[in-house]
This record gives sequence, C-alpha cells and structure tokens, in this order.
Amino acid sequence: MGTPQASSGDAPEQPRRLNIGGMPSAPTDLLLAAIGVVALVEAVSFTTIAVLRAALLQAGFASWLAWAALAILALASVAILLPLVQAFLGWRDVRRAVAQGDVVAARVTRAAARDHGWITIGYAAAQFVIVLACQFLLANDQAVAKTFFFLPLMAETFPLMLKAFWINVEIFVVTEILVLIWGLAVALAMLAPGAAGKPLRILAAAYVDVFRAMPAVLVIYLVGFGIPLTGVPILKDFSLTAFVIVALTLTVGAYVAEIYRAGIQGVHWSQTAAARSLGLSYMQTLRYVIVPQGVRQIIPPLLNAFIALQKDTALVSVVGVLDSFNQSMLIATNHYNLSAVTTVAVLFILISIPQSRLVAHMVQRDRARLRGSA
Amino acid sequence: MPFIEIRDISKSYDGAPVLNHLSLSVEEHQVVSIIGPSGSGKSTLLRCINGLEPIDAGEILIHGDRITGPGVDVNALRRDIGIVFQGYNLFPHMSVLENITLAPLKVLKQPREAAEGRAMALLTRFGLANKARDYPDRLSGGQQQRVAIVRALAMNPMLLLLDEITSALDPELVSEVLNIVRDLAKEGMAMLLATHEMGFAREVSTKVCFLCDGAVYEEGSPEQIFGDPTQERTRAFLRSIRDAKRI
Repeated sequence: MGTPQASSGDAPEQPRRLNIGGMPSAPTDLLLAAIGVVALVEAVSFTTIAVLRAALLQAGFASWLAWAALAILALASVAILLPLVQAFLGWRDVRRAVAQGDVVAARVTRAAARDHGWITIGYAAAQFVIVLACQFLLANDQAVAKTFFFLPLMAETFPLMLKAFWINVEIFVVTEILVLIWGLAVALAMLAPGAAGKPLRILAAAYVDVFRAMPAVLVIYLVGFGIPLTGVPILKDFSLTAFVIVALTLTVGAYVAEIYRAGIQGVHWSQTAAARSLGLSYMQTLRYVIVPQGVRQIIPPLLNAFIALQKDTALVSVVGVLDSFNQSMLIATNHYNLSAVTTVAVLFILISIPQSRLVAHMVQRDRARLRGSA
Repeated sequence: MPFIEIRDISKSYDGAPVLNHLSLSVEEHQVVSIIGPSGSGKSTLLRCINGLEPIDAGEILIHGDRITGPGVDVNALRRDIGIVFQGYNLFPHMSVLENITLAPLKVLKQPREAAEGRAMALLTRFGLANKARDYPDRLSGGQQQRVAIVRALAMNPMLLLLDEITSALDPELVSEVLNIVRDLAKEGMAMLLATHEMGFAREVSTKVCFLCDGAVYEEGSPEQIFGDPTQERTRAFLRSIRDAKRI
C-alpha cells in the first residue's frame, strides 16, 4: 500500500509492515457452492419423502399420523435453509461493508458469512448421507427395510430373543469376572522377578502368545466339542455353557494379561523405590502401590477388551449353545427374514453404549477424588 | 565403632563407574552433607545404603554389621533406614494419612489406631494436620515433601537419607522443608543428605563430604570445607556455586 521511497538498490530499506491483506472480498464462491449443495440435497430429500409417501399409501397407513410424520420430515429436511439464509445475509453485509470502505466490519462479517457457508455445507453433507441410507431402505419396494426391520416379526419374536440374549449376558458376565482374576494372575506371572521367576515368566509368555494368536471361535470349538469327547472325569460333566466360558476366559485372558502388564509396567519405577524403601516386600509393593495405580491406567483398554468379549459371545453358537445369535438364525431360517438378527444387533448396541458412558463417568469421578480429599 | 562405615564401595551402571572405591563413616547423631557436581554419585551412594541399589564391591557396615551382599534382609534394613527422594514419590492413590500409615500397618503390623495416632502427631508437629485427608495431588510441592519426610519418620528410623529433597521445589517452598530437617538435626537424628543448598549444609551439618567422580574427594567440618577447602577441585566447585549466587 505504501509508496516506494526509492528505487535504487542501496537506498535504506523501508521499515517492515505487517501485511495481513487489505479489504476482504465477499465469499461469493462459497455461497454459490452452499446453494448448489443445498439444492441437490433438497431434491434428493423430497424425492425420498415422495417415495416414502407412496409406500405408506400402498401399505394402507393413510392416517393423519402418517401425514404428520411426513410433514415433520419435510420440515426437518428444509432446516438447512436457515444457515444458508444466514450465509446469504452475511455475504450481503460483507458487500455493504466493502462498499463503505470499513475494513474491520468487512473482516468480521466475512468471517461470520464463511462460517455459515461451511456450516450449511457440513449439515447438508450429513443430511445427504442419511437420505441415501433411507433410499437404500426403501429400495426395491422396501425390500431392504422388510428384510432387516420387519417390525411385526421383531415384536413377535422379541421375548424369545430377550431370553436367548440373557444367555449371552450370563456368559460374558461370568467370563469378565474370571478374566479379571485370571488376567492379573498371568500378568504377575509374566513379571515374576529373579531367576526363580524365570520358568513362570516363560510359561506365561507362551500362554499369551498361543492364545492371543488363536481365533476365539477355534478355541470355543476345540474346548466345547473336544473336552466332552476326551471323557476326562469331572471335566466332561461340565455344561456346554461352562466350556464356552472357559474357552472365552482363556482367549480373552491372554489379551487382558497383556493389558494388565502394560498398566503395571506403566507405573513409574520411583513408586516402587518409595514403597520398597519403606520396607514393603515385593508382593506388598505390588498389592498396595503398583497394581492399584496400574489398574487405573488400564480401564479404557480393559473396557475395549470387555466389549469385544461381549460381542464374541455370539461365537458360542458354533458349539450349539442356544444364545441370541443362534436363536435369531433359527427364526431367520423359519421366516426367511433377518429381522430377528437385527434385534440381536440392537440388543448388543444397547448394552455396549451405557457401559462406555458409565466407565467414563467412574474414571472421571476417581480422578476428581484423587485431586481432592478423602 | 562408627555408626555407619562405608568401606571402599564401587558401583557401575553398564560399565560406567558411578561409585569408585568410596569410603565414608558416620557417627551416631551426626548430620553429614554430601555435596558435589551432578553425576558425582551422591544419589547412588544414598540408594546403596538402604539397598535400593546393589553394590559391586566393598561393604557397608552399620554398628559393625554388614548390610550389603547376599543374605541381607533388605526389607528389615529398610525398616530402620528412611529415605526421602527429590521427587517426593508419594503414592497418588492414597490420602496423606494412608501414605504415612501404609508401612507402619503392613510392615510393622502396628494396630491402626497406633499408626494413625503417631501419623497425626507427626503431621500436627509439622503443621500438616489439616492435610491428613487430602490426596497428594492437592498439596504444594513443599507440603508433599514434608509429607514424604513424615512418611519416612513414621517408621521411626535410626538413619534418614535425604536425596536432594529441595531440588524440585520452588525457591519460596524450600525453607518450610529445611526447617523440618533443622528440627530433626537438633533432636539428634542421624542424617545423610545429598544437597545443593550450601548455606543450609554449612549450618546444619557436623561433617561435609565433597564427592567427585564417585569418591569422597575431600571431607571435613563445614567451616573447613566451605571456608578453607584444601583441594583445587573442591575450590572450583564452590566457586562455580558462588558464581551462580546459590550460596
């Protein structure tokens, strides 16, 4: 902006000035892009609503409730016009400010206009994905929706599914308790000190390597079918559920042992030094100082392992345990429809989400406690 | 017979010598300051005395009893020798009171009431009674370090090892920690302190040792070491400390 003072090379240099751009321009390209995206999304949305309306009419759902639902959908789908309007108004403000030569106002309004433009595009993109998913469900005369979400069948089989799901819950709750103990025992064996601990360390490491490598479904198959075949006294009389619990404990225990080990080794050595310097023995140090701190560090990965385990309980169907997945497959075969399997999926989702929230809440509360007083 | 006799001990980490034929003796009720440049082996020496680090050669005797080498019950040894670390090393998952009573309860098998009573008495004495229920994270560095000293004292040690206990503290918190050490010195608690607080070392010690390259380079009364050091390296070290205005 400044006028050059001299053109010759050896003249004193001009003092440097901060250059963050002059008068901004209105974000026309962004506004046009937002308008284009919104137009496309609205076109697709209203096509879908029309298809839905036709489907409802065909199914004989011509009540006022159906029309109200459609009206709400239509209203929701035009909600992205709000940020678009704001983007447009902002764009107009920028032009006005530029016309008046007010750099500061132009920058402020341009920033707001750009924000609204991008917000419009972001929401429109999300709406586009959702609408496409709805299109998929309605495709082929709603065949997709009927295959996966046939509500009458879901409602009719729900009590049966819930009962079968209870088997999964039983299996994973018992397994989780066993895994917590077994995993810690294996982790401590992996960390057994000195020359005397060496055989234990090797054994534990071998166990973890073997069971982490084997597919869970194989272990379940081998234990569930194999042990009864061997006819070993006492063991052979266990129930099938007990076998799959043992199989899952062995598999998940290997993972959880590694998680424990990482947590224990993650506690700074100075804590061990402090505990040992007070005269606490190796085991006392582990029990009162190291493990309580290590366990706090591993709660998130432990929860991951547990949710994975909960899902893996669906694998027990391979040895014929009548769990929710097995039950749903029976229903699917009888009715030539997969909606009961969807029920299982929904049940698994429903139990997993609150656990993450609950654990996050507990971790936060514990952290707050350690920053306060007893 | 001296209280502690360190005879010609050596230690190396992966071939790098840290203690190199070091000898030192401490009398009953003596406060010995160990000064010297970083890497001279001060911390390692203290850690060897309570068995946190094994030594490679030499021996350490307490009341003529060998406390190094195989067959020594280090847990029993550590009951009677307390150590306080530069980084406090409080247990973050335990309240102040739990930190202090853990070892008396689990190691000395004291009844809970006795352990808590003694802990509260010590906390009260050092002005920390109102912190008993707090978790360490809530305390200032100076408070944490005072709790760490109380935790060591709760075991009623014969000897206290203080490993640069004020080095991690903000300057304004140093005095509250040093006041406790001064008190303990007056009571006759035998202490070995690795320190960079030269003024304090001069005031509180009965003997000062200048450590260099893993051995005691010069030792003597505080007046002699700080006022009239005989060795050139001691003089150079004290000069650099003085130049940094830390004396």
